Parts: sequence; structure tokens; C-alpha cells
Amino acid sequence: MNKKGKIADSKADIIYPIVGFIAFFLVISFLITLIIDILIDGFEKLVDPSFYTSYPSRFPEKAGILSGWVGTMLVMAGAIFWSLIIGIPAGIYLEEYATKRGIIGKIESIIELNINNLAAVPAIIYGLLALGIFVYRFKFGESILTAGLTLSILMLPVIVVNTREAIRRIPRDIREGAYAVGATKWDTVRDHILPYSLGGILTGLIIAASRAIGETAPLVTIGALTFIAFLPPAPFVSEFPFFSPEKAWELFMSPFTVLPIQIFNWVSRPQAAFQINAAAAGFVLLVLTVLMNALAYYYRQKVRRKYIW
Amino acid sequence: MIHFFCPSCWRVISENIIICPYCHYDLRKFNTLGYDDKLILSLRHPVKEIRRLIIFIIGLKKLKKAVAEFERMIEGEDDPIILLEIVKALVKINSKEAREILDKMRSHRFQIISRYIERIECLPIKEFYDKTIIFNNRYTC
Amino acid sequence: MVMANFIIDSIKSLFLGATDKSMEEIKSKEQYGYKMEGDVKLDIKELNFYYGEFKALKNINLKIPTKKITALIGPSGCGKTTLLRCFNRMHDLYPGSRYEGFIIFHPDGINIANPHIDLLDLRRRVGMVFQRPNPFPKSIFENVAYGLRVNGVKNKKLIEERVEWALQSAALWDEVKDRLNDNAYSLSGGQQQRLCIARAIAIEPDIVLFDEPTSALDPISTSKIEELIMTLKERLTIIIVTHNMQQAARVSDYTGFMYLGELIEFDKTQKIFTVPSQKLTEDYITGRFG
Repeated sequence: MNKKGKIADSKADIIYPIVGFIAFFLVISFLITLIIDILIDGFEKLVDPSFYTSYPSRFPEKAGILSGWVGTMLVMAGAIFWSLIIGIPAGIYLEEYATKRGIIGKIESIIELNINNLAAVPAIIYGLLALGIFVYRFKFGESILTAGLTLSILMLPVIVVNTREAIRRIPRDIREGAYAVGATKWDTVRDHILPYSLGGILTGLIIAASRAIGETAPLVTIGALTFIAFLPPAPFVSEFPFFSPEKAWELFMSPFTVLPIQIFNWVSRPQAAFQINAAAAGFVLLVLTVLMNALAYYYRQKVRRKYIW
Repeated sequence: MIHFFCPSCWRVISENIIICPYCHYDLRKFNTLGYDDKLILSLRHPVKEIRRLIIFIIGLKKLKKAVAEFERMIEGEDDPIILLEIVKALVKINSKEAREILDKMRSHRFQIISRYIERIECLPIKEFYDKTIIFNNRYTC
Repeated sequence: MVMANFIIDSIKSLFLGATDKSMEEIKSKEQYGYKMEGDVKLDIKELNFYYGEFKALKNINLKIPTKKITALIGPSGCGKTTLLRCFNRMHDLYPGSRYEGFIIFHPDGINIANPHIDLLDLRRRVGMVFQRPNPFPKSIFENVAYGLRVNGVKNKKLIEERVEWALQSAALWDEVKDRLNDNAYSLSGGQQQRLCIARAIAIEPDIVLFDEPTSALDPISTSKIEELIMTLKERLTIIIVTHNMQQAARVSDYTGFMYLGELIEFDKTQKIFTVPSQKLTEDYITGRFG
């Protein structure tokens, strides 16, 4: 059929795949070049274990990313936590409970309209917002808590939109089936809507988190430090119940840095040796993103396979 | 969407037409017909499911008028399910003409038909009525 | 005393939307032309139903008999499914629906069309089986147990017993007893639909509504479901919407013919098909329109 058949006769059918492949190849080759480049540049640091376990330093050969990657992990954990506990209920509310009538309905429709707009707001604006609200108003300081909240605002619109789409994909029949045996709205949401839409919600989380992990601007705006030579305290203690709320609070309130800021800092240094550090840290950031994606992808597939309509 | 059909040529026509534009059938005449005549007209309905239902109803009503139409249908019918439905209806009608047709069909080319006639003919009439009513949808009986 | 009664009445009407007086007026106007054997389960009086501004059901008067199969037939868009979904108030899930009139649920005498009744209790007592099999993407066991769980049954042993009973009643037990923990989607279409029937009867409703239950199934599965419906009528009142007239003729005891939101004729199935009293019914059965 391919060579002699009539189907491939159209010119567009020959040209389009070629153009498409070239475009695709260009994009992929940029990405591969970038990865290979930073891998080669930062190779000597990447294989050095002390790079991961030492704090930033004035001397490039001693400088490490310990506070950077710990900070990134903590801030992202906070951001994911906050955006999920706000975003999923918001999405479920808009899709399942919103009345779409009266004054409340008006407000709801305005919110609905603006959620998509929110996703397009530049990140630095969110930084200013967070500076005004979390740092000055609520006095959370330049802390991990503030950073997590800031990034969660950034992630929120994407998560809300994806949650709603995932809910909308659940067939009407399933909902009606639940109501028909006498389930309440809450029963239906808890037993059906939420579990079946989890796959879609996780997709939203992947997209949102991948964007947020590389964000620098809003964190610089709220006052992330570039030079931190200590780790936040672990909230665990040796005696029962092995967890101390005071220490946890201290953890949330401690200053932080994140990998992108560390990279930015090193890149702007004049010494050439710091460029190697920057490349290595960049590669670590990439690996972190890919790992996060892979984890979420794996989990999403697992959930999806269970719910195929 | 509700479609109206001409009761004579069974093409789709609009609701309030008086004379069918295709076959020139006078629908005023149709409206004076009784239910029995309408049933017999509908034996030519293009939708198989409806044809089957009509045959079933004619069986229930034991319409002797329909036997001649059945005879015509058996000639051209290729669908064993419809044929079986006709046989069941004929058994219920149980008139002289109906029995003659059944007799002819004893050696029908479809085994499902010939076997069915063989099996029921040995039953006393009453019992066999009950059976046909209960099993009227089973292709296998 | 009169004053007190009046006050109680007006409070009642405030909450229930209708006074007893108007009920009696309607009762006195009873004029159904058919004879009914046995008790009435649902007594529908002057029922109107609106989707927003559109009047989907017009003045429906109908008595559904207890422990019989009642079929609703009619061309598509005639309102038969709409009427069916009034009986468990499924329309309430979507905005813009409005009921007028009475659907009296005997023997309690509750008016189903009253906007203030307890919908959860109603849906527990009026089960529904849908057009497309719609099991939950959970295990076979959980599907049947779900109705019990949301209705507050906690006792594990009781749930297991009820699930087995429901699956046996739905003629599915022998096929699934060894794989109760498999996902319901691993079943075939016909089995899924029987699972949905098991799910509906597990909570022992008084009425089960079937909304074209076999339209998505093959002939063999269809005949199995039909047999099942006929055995269920010993315990339940069954209302079935079908566009397959032969199915209505096969399984039902009573048949209602609907056209453009009105109930044209309601009678014993045999009578509807052999001697219909309305010209519209004649024309529909003989395939003049559809």
C-alpha cells in the first residue's frame, strides 16, 4: 500500500511528514544538545559526592548544592501540598456544587472565567502578591512556608483547570448510577468523582510542578537567599512521638535557597570554575524534574488503567 | 425526530400529506381503515422488527384475513426469524388455509422451520398454544 | 379547633406545597378507563414536567399496578424516559427541572413530585437500571455492596449475605462467585447489565425502573435480561421504558403509549396491541410513524 498504493499520491501527504519530522527533530536536538552540554561541562562536579553534601562557598572547588536541593525539595513539597488541598476542592466545587444561578452563580462564573487568565499571569506578579500578603501582612517572613505558598498560587490555576476537566470526563451514567442507589452528593464525590478523576488531577500536578520547580523570579521577589550555609532543622526527635511541632514550625519558618537561584548566582560569578558548578547544578535540577515527572506518570498510568470508560 | 411513512409504499413522507407523492395512495382512505386492515398493510413494512411485531399481533388476534398475505410473504422471505414468526402466527390462527400452508412448509429449506412444525404438530392444541406464548421469542424452540 | 386545623393546614401547605383539599378535588375527578387488578403502586395525577420553559410532560394520569411489569412505549422524544426519571426524581440532578401535580407513592401516600421530600429515601425505594450498563469501576462485590454502604449498612456479614442474595436474584452469582474481587469492567456487556440490576435490587427497593435496559445488548443477553425482569416481578413493581415494541409485548402486563409528552393510551398489554382504542396507538404499532 505504501509504495504503489494510491493513498500516498497526494503531495501534502508526502511533504507534511517531512516538515513535521524536521520541526520535531529541531526541538529534540536543542534539548539533547543542552543536556549533553551541561552534562559534559559539569561532569567533574557531578561525580564528586561532596558536591551534593556541602554548602555554597566562596571557593568554587568547595562549593556544593546541599542547601539548594534540600530547599528545592522542601519548597516543592510545600507548594504541591498547598496547591492540592486548595486546588482539588476548588475544582470539585466549581464542577459539582456550583449553582450557576443568582448572585453566587454570577460570582462563580466570574471566578471560572478568570481561572484560565490566572494561569497566564507572569510569575513575578505572583512574587509581588506573595511579598505583599505572606511576607508583610501575615508576617511569615522570607521562609520555606512563604515560598511554598507562593509557588502554590502559581500552580493553582493549572490544577483547578485539570481537576475540572478530569471530573468532566467521568461519564454521566456513573454519577447517576451512584445517585440512583441513594448516595448523597458527598458520597458520590468521595467514592466516585475523586478517585476516578485522580489520574487527570495528577496530570495537572505534573504540568504545574514542572513549571514551578524552575521558577526563580517569584522566589527572589519574596527574598530567597542565595547563600545559605545551614540546613533547616529536621522536625524529628529521638523520643516518642518522634515528631516535634516546634521544630516543624522552625523548619517552615527558616530561610531557604533553591537550585535555580543557586545556579543563577553561580552563573553571575566571574570565576570560570563556578560555571562548572552551575552546569552541574543545572543537570541536577533537570534530573529532579524528570524524576518527578516519571513518578507522577507512573502513578497516573496506574490509576488510569483502572478507570477506562 | 418522528418520521411518517406512506402506508402503501413505505417511503418517508411528511405528516399532513393527503396523497402520497410517490405511489399516489390516498391517505384519507387509510384513515377509514380498521386496525385489522392496517395490520395487514403493515406486513409490508420495511423495518423487520415492526414486521415481526405485526405478525405476532396478527397471531394473537387470530386474523384469518391475513393468511393470504402470509402465503405471499413466505414465498419471498429469506429471514428465518420472520418465517418462524409467521409459522407461529399461522399455528395460532389454525384455520383450514393456515393448516394447508403449514403442511406445505413441513419440508421447508430452513431446518429451523421444518423442525419447529414437526415438534408442535404432535402437541395437543391447547398445550401448544401455551408453549408458543411462553416461548415466542426463543429462536431455538 | 377549626382555627387550629386551618393553621396546621397552611403550615403543611407551606412545607409540602399542596393542601389535602386540592388532593381530594383531584381524587374526585378520577376517570381512568381501564380496569386494574391488584393494588396501585404509583398513582400519577395531572403530572406536568418542565425542562426550563419546555413542557416535556403534559397532564399525565396513570396508575401503576403493584408487582406487575408496566411498559412505556412511544417514538423517540415522546417523553417516556422523562416520565420514568420523574419516578426517582433523577431530573433533580440537573438545573431547570420543575414538577407539577402528583405522583402518589402507595402505600405511604408520599407525593414524589413534591420538591421537599427526602430524595435519598425515595431513591433507596425506587431503584433504576440505565440504558447503558454503568457499573462502577470497582470490584464486582463493591458494586453490589455500594448501595448498602451508602445506606448505612456496616455489618460485614450482612453485606456479604445481601450481595450474594442480590447476585443470585440477578442470575449472575454462578458466573461471578469465584471472582467477586475482579473489576466489574472485566464482565461482558450483558453481565454488566445484570450486575447493575443486582446493584439496584440489593437495597430491596419497592420499584425498579428500567430505562431501555437492553438497547445496548446482543439478542442472547437481551433475552436473559428479559427473563430476569419477568422473575423479578414476583417481588417488585417494574416499570420499563423500551423502544422495542416486541419487548413490551413479550414482558409487560400493562403498556402505556406516549406521544409528544402525552399519555395517549394505557391498558393491559394484550389489549393495547390487539385492540387499541386510539388511532394514534394503531398507527404507531403498525409502523405508520416512528
